[in-house]
Amino acid sequence: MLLPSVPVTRFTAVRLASLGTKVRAAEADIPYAGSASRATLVIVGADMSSTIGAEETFCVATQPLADVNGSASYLGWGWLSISVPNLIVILVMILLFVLAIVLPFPKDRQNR
Amino acid sequence: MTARVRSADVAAQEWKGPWRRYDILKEGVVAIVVVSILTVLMAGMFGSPDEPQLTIKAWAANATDNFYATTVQELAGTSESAGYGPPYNTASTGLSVGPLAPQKWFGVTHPVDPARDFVITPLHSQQQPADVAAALKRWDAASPDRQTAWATAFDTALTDADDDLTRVPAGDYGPVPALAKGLTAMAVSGALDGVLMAQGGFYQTDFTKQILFLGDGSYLDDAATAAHLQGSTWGMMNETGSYPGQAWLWLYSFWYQIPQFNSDNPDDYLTSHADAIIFYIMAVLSLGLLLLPFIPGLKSIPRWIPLHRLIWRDYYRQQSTITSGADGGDSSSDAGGSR
Amino acid sequence: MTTTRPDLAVEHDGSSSMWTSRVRRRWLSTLPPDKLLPDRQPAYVASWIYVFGVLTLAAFLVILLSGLVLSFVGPAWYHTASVGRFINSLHFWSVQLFFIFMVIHLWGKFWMAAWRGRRALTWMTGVVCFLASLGTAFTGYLVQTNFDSQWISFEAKDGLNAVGIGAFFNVANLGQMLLLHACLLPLVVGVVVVWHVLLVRRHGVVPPIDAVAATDPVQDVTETKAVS
Repeated sequence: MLLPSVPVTRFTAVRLASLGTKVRAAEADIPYAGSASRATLVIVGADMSSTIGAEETFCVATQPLADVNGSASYLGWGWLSISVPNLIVILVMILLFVLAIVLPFPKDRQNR
Repeated sequence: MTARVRSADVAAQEWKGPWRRYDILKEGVVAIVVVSILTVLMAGMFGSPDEPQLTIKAWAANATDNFYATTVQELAGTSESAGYGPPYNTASTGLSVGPLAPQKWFGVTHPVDPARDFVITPLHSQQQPADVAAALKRWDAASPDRQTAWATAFDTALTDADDDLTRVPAGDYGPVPALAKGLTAMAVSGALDGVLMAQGGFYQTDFTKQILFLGDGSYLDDAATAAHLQGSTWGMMNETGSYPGQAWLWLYSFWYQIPQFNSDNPDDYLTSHADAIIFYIMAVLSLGLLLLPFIPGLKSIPRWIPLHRLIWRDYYRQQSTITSGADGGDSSSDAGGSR
Repeated sequence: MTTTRPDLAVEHDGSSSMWTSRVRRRWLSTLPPDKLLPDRQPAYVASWIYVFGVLTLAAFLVILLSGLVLSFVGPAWYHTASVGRFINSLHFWSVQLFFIFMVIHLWGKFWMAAWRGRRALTWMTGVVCFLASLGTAFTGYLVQTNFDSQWISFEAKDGLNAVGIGAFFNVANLGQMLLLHACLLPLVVGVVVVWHVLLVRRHGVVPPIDAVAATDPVQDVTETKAVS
């Protein structure tokens, strides 16, 4: 005897914000029914709501600027793969490091 | 004395050269203000990841076939937990690399018997429908060999039928199908989450049994694959949603990507022992980072690749001015205070 | 180099062998106030790379403060309260900033070979801070009480079990991980950070590679005794 499978959407928080959004390309239903369905979404937008289960939704205190709840996009070359957020962090770090050693530092106002 | 030795003395001594004003407390306050503002801005703009927890109930409801099949595997002793070894059980000796076998040495410290802990005890904890109660009684009365025979036969048959119960041929499976059905019903009702949590007691903070059971099935695994969190796809570095993950784990994650540790062949030594070997590699590299000041070659890299000449360009410019001034004329030693 | 400051090192009758007096004397000779709270630093400390140490410290402070609020209300609060979610976001982003600044600080210190001049311990305490922070962050990810924690605990157990650590460090034990994350590990990180910073104050910022003091070179040769 089998029990019926109940479809569940995982990333069901799609409340398009008013700041101009790109809609998510697809959404995976029944993502964990043992099949190989994958959520490969590119989300760039302003939806910040997140879900607890499929029926609750709440907002953060401030108006969000970016939708960071969908799956990130990934860049890959062979077995190299990096999420765009991680890549941004690493690039920012490299930029900060380069700027830190290249940018001139204020001179001392008085000498000793 | 060589310039290098003199320089080493300079580094070890109190600085006798020119100084500049420095307000350490002001610097600290400015840093705190800047970081606080940055943090508040980012928190306000982006929030933080919070992917809802999975439950056994959701697993049983959404991947019923898989839950049922996993239950059978627990009874048959063919699940990952059942064959794990220390610290959960003695089904295997764990991983060893050469003479190093700490997994075995430390032994079983968190005993888990999957058949008993995930299936039988939870079924006993609640009143069951008549058929399940009868199955439980029959199971308890049987010898361990008999139990294993039933469960293994059913596990094999179910696997051959791709977890499709309707295609399982008739066979001597004993009470196993009924037990699996009973546990599935318990899980779908939500009772199993509570029972596994309480484990017969009241207070509990140890979720070992739940996570092992959940991980034995495909529900947790599929969720992780969907979220790009699998170890073989740099998952260790990644985060749910579109948030930055733990980029600082890049090197630990890296080893799991290279083909030597990621082979499809389960008998491949490096792949099957990857967890232990990679941990040792990272331990050695961490030790190397710690002891860098003493490692010849490595400690000279900053000298060979002179990024420092950019960092201290003002100082080096002044030094060359002093030197050329000293070569050209009066060897005044009080050059440090002038700009 | 010790500075005789009799007004700060007054010892009363028969007190010279007292533990307190000895500690005080030692402290004042190693870290006198002008080293602990300097109003000057060597002129070569003139690069933006130098700010990443204090930025790391500042981020650590924000982590601690946001963590204190979270610890006051428990690890599940932020799932359901929007204020809690915001505090959690503060904690999340301050951790990201903490590691960003700390790693840039490490890069800078590496390229400056900042372990020179008897500063090996400064480097080593810095690395211990880094490693301890990794462990603290790891336990933090484990106590989110959400899907991420479930997956991380499920995966991490394999690596730790493989080397025997799982026998006494159970990533699936929320109580253990939470106490480690909120009590023990921040304390360890805090102590090592303080030690690291005091070492920097004590030895001063490392001079440039191949630096020469702006004094007579002949004097340099004779004054070669190393100073603690």
